[in-house]
Amino acid sequence: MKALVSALGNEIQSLFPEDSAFVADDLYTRRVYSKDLMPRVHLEAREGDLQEPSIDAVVWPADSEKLAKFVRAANEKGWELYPYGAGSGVCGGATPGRDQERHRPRISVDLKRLDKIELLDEKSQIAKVQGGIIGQVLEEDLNQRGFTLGHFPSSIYCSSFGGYLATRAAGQLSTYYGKIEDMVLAVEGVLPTGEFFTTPVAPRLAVGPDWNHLFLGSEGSLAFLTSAWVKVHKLAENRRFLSFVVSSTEKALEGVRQWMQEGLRPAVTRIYDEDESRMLMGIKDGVKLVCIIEGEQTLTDFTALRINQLTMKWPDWKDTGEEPAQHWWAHRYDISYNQQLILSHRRMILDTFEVSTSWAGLPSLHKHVKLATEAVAKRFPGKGEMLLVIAHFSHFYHCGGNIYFTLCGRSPEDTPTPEFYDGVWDELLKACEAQGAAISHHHGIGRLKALAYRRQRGVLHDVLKSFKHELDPKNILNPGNLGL
Amino acid sequence: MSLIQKISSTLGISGFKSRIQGWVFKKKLLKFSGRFRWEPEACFYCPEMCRFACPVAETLRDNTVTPRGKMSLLHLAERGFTPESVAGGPAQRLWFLEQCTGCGRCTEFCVHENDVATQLRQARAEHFSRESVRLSPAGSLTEQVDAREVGRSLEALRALEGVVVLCEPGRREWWLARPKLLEELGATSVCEAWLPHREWSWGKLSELRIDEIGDALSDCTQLWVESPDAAWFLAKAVKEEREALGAEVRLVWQRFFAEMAARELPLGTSFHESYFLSRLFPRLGYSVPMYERGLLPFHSGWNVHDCGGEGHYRLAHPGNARAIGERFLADLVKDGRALDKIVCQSWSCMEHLRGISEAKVVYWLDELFDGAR
Repeated sequence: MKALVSALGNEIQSLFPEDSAFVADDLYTRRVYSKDLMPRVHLEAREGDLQEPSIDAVVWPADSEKLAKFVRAANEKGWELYPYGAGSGVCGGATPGRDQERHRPRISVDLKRLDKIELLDEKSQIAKVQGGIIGQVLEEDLNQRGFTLGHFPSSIYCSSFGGYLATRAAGQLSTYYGKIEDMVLAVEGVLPTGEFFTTPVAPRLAVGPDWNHLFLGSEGSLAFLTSAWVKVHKLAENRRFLSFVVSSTEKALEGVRQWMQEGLRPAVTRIYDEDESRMLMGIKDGVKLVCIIEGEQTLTDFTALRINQLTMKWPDWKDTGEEPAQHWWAHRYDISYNQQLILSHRRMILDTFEVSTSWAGLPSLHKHVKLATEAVAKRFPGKGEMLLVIAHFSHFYHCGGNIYFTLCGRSPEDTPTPEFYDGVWDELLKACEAQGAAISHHHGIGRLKALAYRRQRGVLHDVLKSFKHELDPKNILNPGNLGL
Repeated sequence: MSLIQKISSTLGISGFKSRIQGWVFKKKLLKFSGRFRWEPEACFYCPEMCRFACPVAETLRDNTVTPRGKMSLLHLAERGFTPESVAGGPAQRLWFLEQCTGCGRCTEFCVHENDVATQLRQARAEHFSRESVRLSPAGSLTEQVDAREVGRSLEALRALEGVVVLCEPGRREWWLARPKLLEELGATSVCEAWLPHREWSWGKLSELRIDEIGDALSDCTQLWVESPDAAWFLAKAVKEEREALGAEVRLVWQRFFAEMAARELPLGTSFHESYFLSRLFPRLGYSVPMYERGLLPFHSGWNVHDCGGEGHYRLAHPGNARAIGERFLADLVKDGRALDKIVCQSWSCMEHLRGISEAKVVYWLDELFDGAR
C-alpha cells in the first residue's frame, strides 16, 4: 500500500475510510499521472531535468457512486479534477497544461476500476460497458461470448473505452463497423456537480438535440463518462484480403471514392502516399493500397468481387495479391512501437497529425500540409533543422476521408527542441486550417490543438464555453482542455 | 544519400521484411555497440502495449505499476536521477519495483524482445545490494548470489556447504529475523539466490549452465527453498539428473503443509495460490470452495499458478488476475463466507491483494513461522 504523505491525500482518504486504496499522493505516482503520451512530454523529459509533478494526488474510484461522492466533495472544495483512462492520449488532454495557472489542488481521477461489461443483450446486440476497461480486454471478453465491438485502434492494448468516448476515437476497421459515435446508443456519467445523468437509450430518437454528441468528444471537460451502451456485432464470418499498387496517390483516392460512393464498405482501406510507400514498403513507382473486407460470407465475397471488377478496368491499378494486406493485418498494431529510436535521440521529434476533408479537398490538403515543411524551414533557419512529413489515408466515407501524417524531424542546433516542436505544430495546423479541413480526425484536441480549435470554431467555441460554465460553474473539470 | 534514405536508415527499416524486424535488428546493433542499455530507455518512450499483459497492472489499474511504469524508474536512475528526486526515496522506489509477480509475460509480449522481467528482477536485487534499507547488517550466515552470472556468483555458490536456505532476493532479513526457524531447519547459511528456473522452464537455459549450478552446490547437504519452481528446478534439473550432486532439496512449504495439516483452519482463510488449491489442499483434506466449484479459470498441472507466479505462460494471463480479484474474492464474500484472511506465497501478490481486498493479507511464511522469531 502506498503511504499517504500530504494533508490533501489524508483529507481525500478520510472521505472513503472503507477503501484503503482510494488515493495516492506519493511523488512517483504524481509524476506518472502528470503526463500522457503527448510526444512533447517525452521531449521535455528527454532534454530537461525532472520537473515538479503537475498533479497533487490520484484517486481510483471503484464504482460510479464513489466517483459521484468524490466529485461532489471536489466541487464543494474547488479541487480541479482530471479524468484519466489509460493515459495513451497524444494531445495532452488528460493532464494540466504546462503554463496553466496553479492555484487549486489538482487531482487525477483514474477510472480504470470501472471496467466491467454491465450488460450484453445478445438479441438486440447491445452491450453496456464501463469506461475504464482496456480496449483489448473488452474485445477479448466480447469475443468469448461470440461478439465484437469492431473498434480496433492501434493503441488497443494501452487505451481505455472511456478514452474512445471522450476523444471520438476511430478504429482501424471503422469503414465497416463505424467510429465510436456510430456505435454509441447512450452514455451514462457524472456531471462536475456530482449528479448522475444518462442519455436516452434507443436505436434512434427525435426528442430534441442529440445529447450523446455533446458528451462524445468532450475530452473530460464536461462530465465523467462512466459507461455507454454500444452496438456489438457477431464475430466476423469471413475476411478477404486485397492489395494493389497504384500509379499515384490521386489515382488511388479516385478509385476508392468510386467504390465508397457505390456503397461498398470494406473494413479497411489504406493508401500510403508516395513517400510512405517508398520509405516503409520499398515501392519505388506508385503507391501501396491495402484493402480488407470483413463480415458475413456472401457480403464479403460480393464486395471483393465488385472491387476486383472495378480495379481490373483501371489501368493505373495493379493487383498485388493477398500477401501485402495479410502482412499489414499481422502487424496492424505495430505502428505505435516504432518511436523509441527517434524519441530517444536528442533534438529529434516524432508525431502524427490526422485530419479530414471532402474528396474534393483531399489532394490539396495532402499537398499543402506536406508543404508546411518549407514554412518550418523558413521559421527555423538554424543549422541542422530537418523535417519530413509522410502520409497515408486510412478512413473513408461517402463524402471524403482522412489523412494521417507522420512527422519526423530534428530541431536546429540553436533552438530548444520543445520550441521547434511547437513551431512545427503551428505551421501544420495553419496549413490545415487554410484548407478548411478538420484539425483532428480521431486523436482529439487536448491542449495541443486548443488554440487552433478556438480559431476554427469562432463564436461556437464561446457557446461551448458558456455551456461548460452551466455544467461546471467552478470550472473544476479538466480546466484548460479544448481551450475551455 | 537522400533525406528520405537517411531517415529510413535511422529508422532501421530498409531492407527488412517488417518494420519490427528492423527495429529489433537496430536494437541489437546498439546493444552490441554498448551505446546504451536498451530496455529501460525503450520502455520509457514506448506507448506501453504490454500494459494489458501485466497481471499487476490489470489488478491494481494503476499506471505506476505497468511494466513501463516500473521500467521508467530504471531509466531515470540510469540518467542519474536519485530515488529521492524520482520517487521520494529508496524505500518508496522499491515499492513500485516490488509490484511484479515475475510472471514474465511482459517479456514474452514485448515486440522489441526486451527482457523486461529480468531487468526488473535485477533492479530489485540491485536495490537490496546497494540501497541502505537493510533491516539488519549482513552476518556470516548471509550471501547474495545471482546464479545466472558465471564467475563471482558461482564462486559464492561453491562456497556454500551444509544445510542452506536459498531464499528469494530481498527476503534475507526476513529469515535472519527468525533464528529459531533457522535452527529448526538446521541451516548454516541463508543465501539470496535467483535461480534460473524460469529460463529453465522456458528452455532457455543451457545444459552447461545447469551443470555449473549443480556442481557449484555439490557441497551442500540440504537445500531449503521457498518456491515450488525453485524446488522443481533443483530437484529435477540439477539433483536427479546429476548423480554427483549430494544435496537433498527440501521445500520449506513441506513444513508449511505439515503444520497446516495439523491446524484447524480459521473460517474465511483463503490461500492465494492455486498450487495450494489444486494439488495439495485436496490431498490434505481441506475444502476449497472455488476449486470444487470449478470457478478457477484454469486447469491444474504441476506448474500451476494463479495470476502470475513464475509459471506457465497461459496461466499467467492477466485475465486470471482479474478473475481472482473479481470472482474469487467476491464469490467467497457473496456466499456469506466473509473472507478474513488471505495467505500469499508471493510478496507482490500480497501487496496486490492488500490493494483490492479488505481481508487481512499475510505472507505465507509469516503465517506459519511468526512464532519462530
